[in-house]
Amino acid sequence: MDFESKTAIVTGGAKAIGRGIALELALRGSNVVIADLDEEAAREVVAEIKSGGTQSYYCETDVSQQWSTDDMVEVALEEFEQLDVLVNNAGVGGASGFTTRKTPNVEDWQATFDVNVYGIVNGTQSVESYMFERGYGKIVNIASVAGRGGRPGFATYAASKAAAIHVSQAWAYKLAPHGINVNTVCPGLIWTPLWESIAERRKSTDQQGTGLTPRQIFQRTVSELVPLGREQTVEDVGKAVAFLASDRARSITGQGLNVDGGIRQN
Amino acid sequence: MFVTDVTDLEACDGLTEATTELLGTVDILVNNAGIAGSAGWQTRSYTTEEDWKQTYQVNVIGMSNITTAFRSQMTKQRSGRIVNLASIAGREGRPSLPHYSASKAAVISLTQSTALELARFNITVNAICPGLLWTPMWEQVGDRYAHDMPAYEGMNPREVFDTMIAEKIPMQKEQTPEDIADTVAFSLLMMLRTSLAKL
Repeated sequence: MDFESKTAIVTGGAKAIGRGIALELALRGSNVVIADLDEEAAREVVAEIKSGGTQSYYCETDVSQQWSTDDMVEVALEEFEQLDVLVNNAGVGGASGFTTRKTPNVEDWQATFDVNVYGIVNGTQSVESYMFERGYGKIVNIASVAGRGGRPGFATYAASKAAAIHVSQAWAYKLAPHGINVNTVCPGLIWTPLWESIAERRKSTDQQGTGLTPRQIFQRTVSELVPLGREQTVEDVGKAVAFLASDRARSITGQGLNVDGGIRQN
Repeated sequence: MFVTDVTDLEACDGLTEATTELLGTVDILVNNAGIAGSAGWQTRSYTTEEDWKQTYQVNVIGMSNITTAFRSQMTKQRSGRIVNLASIAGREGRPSLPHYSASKAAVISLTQSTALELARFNITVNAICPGLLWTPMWEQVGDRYAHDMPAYEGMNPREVFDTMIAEKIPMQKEQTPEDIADTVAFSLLMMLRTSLAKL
């Protein structure tokens, strides 16, 4: 068990990819703090983890606020006395209503950067002095294959995820001498509420999307873009994160791993 | 154990046949064999045509030979995992051993093409780029650098290695064969369904 008697925080751990990561870490023995704004969904994940035999705790967290991530780390340490892994996973596709806008507005730019970039910065800043003193820590940031290169539409999201990859690299250099690994996972096409809203948006903004359901738009995108010819799953991402957060990946830092069925090569 | 010369395509075919006969299926192929030059490369301060030829022959063509030999069986099975060992040297230029860096860059490119070619058969192909490991090959690299580069003059191979760790590795630690094995095992045993990862 890679994570026996270890503790991880997963931001945005209540749903979708974050939930997949939280459950995978728990399966491998970790106690998991679910840091999220959606209390109801988070409580379900907490219960699911507990029924599997490890401990779990919900902490209401807004990663765009430094005080809130400070709080999150404090609560995790109070609850479990030790913190080994931080997964900065929380992310958004835009400000509320972004699915209906053809062109992102200034609020969309702000929201994606607040959560997808500053969220990582805040989480990392809240935990680094603790990990620094301990001389041990694993940070895994969730970016996106969208951050690997531009594609038409959704520039806000792609730009924020590219920034997330670079932020991770900068922190990897900074924290490497102190025994802290920082890596990034770039998920590809995963059927989550976020993707559903992307498809909704495409339906209203892209003529090719007319007459198709969001799921059909998703499947068409998978067959167009993914060499392995299938969608990725939250379990795929969970496994990649679990590897990078484990001591088996002790010599890997500053890297970005695309879990995308081969969409992008690097 | 099969004694196999990867530069000999017939020998590679023989390996495939023997493996399939013995084990029924071939699920995993790890292409690890590699060299850094022709005989005596570690004592030279320049690269010869023979260094170029032999390095390319083993590191690139050898990898292609083995992959070619195994692909029809994996294609038939509609599943397979191939992991190629490249090197961090293939990610950038270096002031010495250009033939080695070039061959490893070619390995990365070969991996990417093979991955795209075999993806539709549910075969994943990934490359792993090891950093600085204290191996017999690196002992020879250290020898060559001590001859070759003023910064390492007069040092023994281990001193060259330790100096490079201190200068170049943010984590300030050498990597180990276990690190690489763990990473290979991750891409194989976790059955990570993604292709073309960089680690």
